[in-house]
Amino acid sequence: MPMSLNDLTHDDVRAWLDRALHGQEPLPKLTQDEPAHLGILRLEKSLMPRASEALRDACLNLVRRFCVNGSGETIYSEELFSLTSAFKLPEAVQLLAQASHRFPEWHGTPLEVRLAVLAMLVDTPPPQSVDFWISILRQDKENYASLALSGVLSTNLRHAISLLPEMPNNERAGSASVLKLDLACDDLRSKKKTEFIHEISNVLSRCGERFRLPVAAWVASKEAPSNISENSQSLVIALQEFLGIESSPRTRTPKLCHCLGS
Amino acid sequence: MPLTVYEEALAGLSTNAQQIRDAFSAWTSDSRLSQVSCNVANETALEPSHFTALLLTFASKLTSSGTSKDAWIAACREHKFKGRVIPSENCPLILGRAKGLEHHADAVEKASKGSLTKQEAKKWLLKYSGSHSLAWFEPFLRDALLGNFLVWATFNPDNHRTNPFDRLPQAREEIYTALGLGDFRADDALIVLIWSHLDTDSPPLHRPTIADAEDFPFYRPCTDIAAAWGLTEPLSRSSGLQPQPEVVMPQKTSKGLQLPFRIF
Repeated sequence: MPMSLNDLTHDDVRAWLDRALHGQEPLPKLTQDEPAHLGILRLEKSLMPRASEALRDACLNLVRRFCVNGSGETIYSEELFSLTSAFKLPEAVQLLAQASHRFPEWHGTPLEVRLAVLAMLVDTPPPQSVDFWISILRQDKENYASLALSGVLSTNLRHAISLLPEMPNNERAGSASVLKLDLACDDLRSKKKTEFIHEISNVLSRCGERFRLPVAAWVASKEAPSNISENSQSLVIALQEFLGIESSPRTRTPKLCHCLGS
Repeated sequence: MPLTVYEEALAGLSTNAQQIRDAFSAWTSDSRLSQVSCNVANETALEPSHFTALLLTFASKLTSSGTSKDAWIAACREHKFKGRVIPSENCPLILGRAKGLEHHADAVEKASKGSLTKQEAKKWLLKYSGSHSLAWFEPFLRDALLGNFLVWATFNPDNHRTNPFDRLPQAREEIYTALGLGDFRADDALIVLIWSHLDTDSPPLHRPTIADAEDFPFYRPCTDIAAAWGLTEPLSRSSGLQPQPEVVMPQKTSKGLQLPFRIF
């Protein structure tokens, strides 16, 4: 392990990082097969601030190198983007966002690398605009649709819903969309959640049949609990009528308090 | 005193033997590499012919690779899975491993081929930890690789049909201590995966060797030359945790995964 990383020049740190991303430097790994970027992140936590900053600068420089023409080995590039995401480098994010517009010209850049760039752009702030993701979707609907949906969901739920009819017509795309919609739904308050699910339900008829199946099942599973909450209200009223004074504050339990809205 | 397996293998190398001794001697100043050279000297899992072949490859790489460590790793990668295979009738039915949560989220993302991002995968792993039903997440989880290139797995030697982690304390620190996961940090979450050997297409299970371990300094060769499998080296003997069996197998997807998986 390079105990001397704290003493390296900026150029040496960049060279070290290049080798480390290629798996050619000893790293503090949890397991032998752990990806290099996780070992680098673990090491970074023990560095002095100056060396840590040099490491981030080195990462940015390697991203700049990639953005020239999208060349680089697949595993190396994936490691680089994962590291970039973990470091949260806004300038690197913008460089890669701009570079992604050139994907159609980069015939030698493997699909896995392009997907790794787009996934990093979804996961890493600052978020890209809806227009950005629409342009990505237009490049290659079959391969980029899922990530484009994730990107739009992070900033504009309504627009994301409008994209659903454009998703590839297969069950896998439907299942992936369910996972994303469900995460987005988790962040909403009750009333917004109901509206969100209702709006999704309204576009389903325009979606491909195979895509629609898992999404419709998910919508149905989300709509069912609203019936339960209606029943809960009826139950509360019935309990109050039956128990009379026994449902008064001195006999309340936390669960009953919640139902009575206190 | 009889020669060790390593010394026997070196004895068969004539001109290369000193070159190899010198390369390993140079590692004594590095705490991690010195452990690797120690492991080489104590290896018992390799047949003499395989050991000699590994060392010959190492010697040839020394002249062409950048550093002696690079040469060692390059040589190891040409000699994987050379430890004895557990006969199929004795194979454990259930195997398991622990890995970093970030690592497995990465694996789920990669296997999804653009369907999920790493953060989405991580959120779903956290949501479904301990669950017997994965709903729409299941196909994506089962596509993920159990490990990269080569999987280190453990099992219960007293009952091959059971979850090997059931006999360990259900706590992160005890798990990584027992398995010898040395570079653990306080903010590293672990995911424990259990799978059916049969449902993972019954890959051959090998006793690990120094070639499988490459430059991982927390590996220790089993001292028993006749052992059918390796043993982990608990990070702390004072913990009272016993070494756990370990085998290596080729990388496989999680198609045979048994639920629930757990995150610690």
